[in-house]
Amino acid sequence: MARSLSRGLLPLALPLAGLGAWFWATGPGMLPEYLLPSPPAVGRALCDYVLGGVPGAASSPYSGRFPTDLAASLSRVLGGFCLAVALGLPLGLASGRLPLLARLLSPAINGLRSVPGICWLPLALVWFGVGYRTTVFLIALAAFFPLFLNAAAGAAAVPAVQLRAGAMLGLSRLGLVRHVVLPASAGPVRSGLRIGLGLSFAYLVLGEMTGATEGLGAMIMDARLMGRVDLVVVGILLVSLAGWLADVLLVLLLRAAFKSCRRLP
Amino acid sequence: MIGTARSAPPVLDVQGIVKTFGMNGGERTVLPGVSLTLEEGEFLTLLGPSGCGKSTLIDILAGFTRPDAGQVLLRGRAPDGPGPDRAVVFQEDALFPWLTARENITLGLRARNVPQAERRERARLLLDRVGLAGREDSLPRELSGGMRQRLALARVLALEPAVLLMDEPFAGLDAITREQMQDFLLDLRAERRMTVLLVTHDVAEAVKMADTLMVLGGGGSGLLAAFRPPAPPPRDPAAPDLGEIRERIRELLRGE
Repeated sequence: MARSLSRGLLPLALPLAGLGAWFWATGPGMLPEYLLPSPPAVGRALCDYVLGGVPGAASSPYSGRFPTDLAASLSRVLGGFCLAVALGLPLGLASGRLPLLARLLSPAINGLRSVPGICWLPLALVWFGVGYRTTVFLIALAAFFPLFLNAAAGAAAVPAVQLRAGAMLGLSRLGLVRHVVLPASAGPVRSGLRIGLGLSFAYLVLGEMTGATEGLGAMIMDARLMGRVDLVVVGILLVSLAGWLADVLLVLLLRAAFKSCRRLP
Repeated sequence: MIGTARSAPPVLDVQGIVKTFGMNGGERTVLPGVSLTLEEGEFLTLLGPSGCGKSTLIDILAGFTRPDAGQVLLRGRAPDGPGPDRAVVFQEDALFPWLTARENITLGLRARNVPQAERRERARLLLDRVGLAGREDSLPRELSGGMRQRLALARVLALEPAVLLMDEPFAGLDAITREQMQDFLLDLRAERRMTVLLVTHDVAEAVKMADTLMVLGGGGSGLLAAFRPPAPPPRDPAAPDLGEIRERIRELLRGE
């Protein structure tokens, strides 16, 4: 009992230590408020931003804006990530199984993936303008590569004996993909999805920092321009919380939908 | 010849199989033109040292590999690629680790559109028969090595294949389990009148189980000899009347 309790609390150890260090660093005689606001100040800003109209919080145009920002950001993440999945997963699985396709795609993909996403920003702004479409493009681009590469590695590593067993059981080519290749690559594919989703949040903020009016990234950029460091910290905390929750949700969703994910060793 | 029944073609008619692999610039002939036939209900063991091409021959019979020359006829017809008429029990673990014992069996039935209720019922009967009753929902990794090979057997029995091809199926098992599995296979075979081609490098196993015993030589030398011991299997490999066959086999394999 005591042991399971201490194991349950273990994940909280680092965040709590970080909070302690934060209190200490913002204590009397330490860092000034304009460099790093104290936890209570950030807490007030957080409540005001999320709930709105908190007494004692500096009055701001951000009061209670969180739901709108979150909805805008999530729709961008969802759009970009789904686009990346729709392209990266089938292409990756196919290139893992078809050496010719892999030879065709690998120079282009390995070249492009070393280009930092931020380099695409000017081009994306020219093509799509400020806002939803630019952000979706950047997210899809960033999430595509880990999805593609992991799916390809997973599909290429499917044991030959399992493919033979499937063919011997009478599965068609499509049946082999559905019943052997896909479940056998579940581990790497899941890793690719998780890395891709994580990157989606990073590029969300990048995309929104360039003049979008709504969204978590837009809020962080606005707050910086207005010297509201406490709100910048609030934005960072909320993006990391959203990213973490999205990851947990993704893993649960995969477990619910695919028995190969449920039964990963 | 209207009105006269022709004698049924053999289950497997294998003629002149040649297979050569390219190896660091050179070429190595593994099968120099191997021919054999397998009659309905026959149990044939193919015995040979590692690298003699016995696994390659199984791959060709199963349709996984194309021969350079020669042909395989299954009941008089050339099969196109792998299929459930030539079921394979592999040496390695070839069960699907993400499927339960039942699902491993029913996948082949799904592929031929057997209705779900019937799939479940047939899987239950087969699991029962191979001694895995109550383990329907176990994953392969939760089963022992012997149980996994029995599951692999159940999976292909569900296909009701024309011939069962077995590639050193018991090589990875401990001695006691291996013997149990040999007896179990002989029981199953008698009960279902199965046609079996079993590849092994274990002389005792080959002598114990086969109606017909063929020796495949190493270094691409092809089939060296065939034996048909008089007594039906299972035989005690140490029985004195098998002494001569055992001695001949040892000589053949030593002569490599």
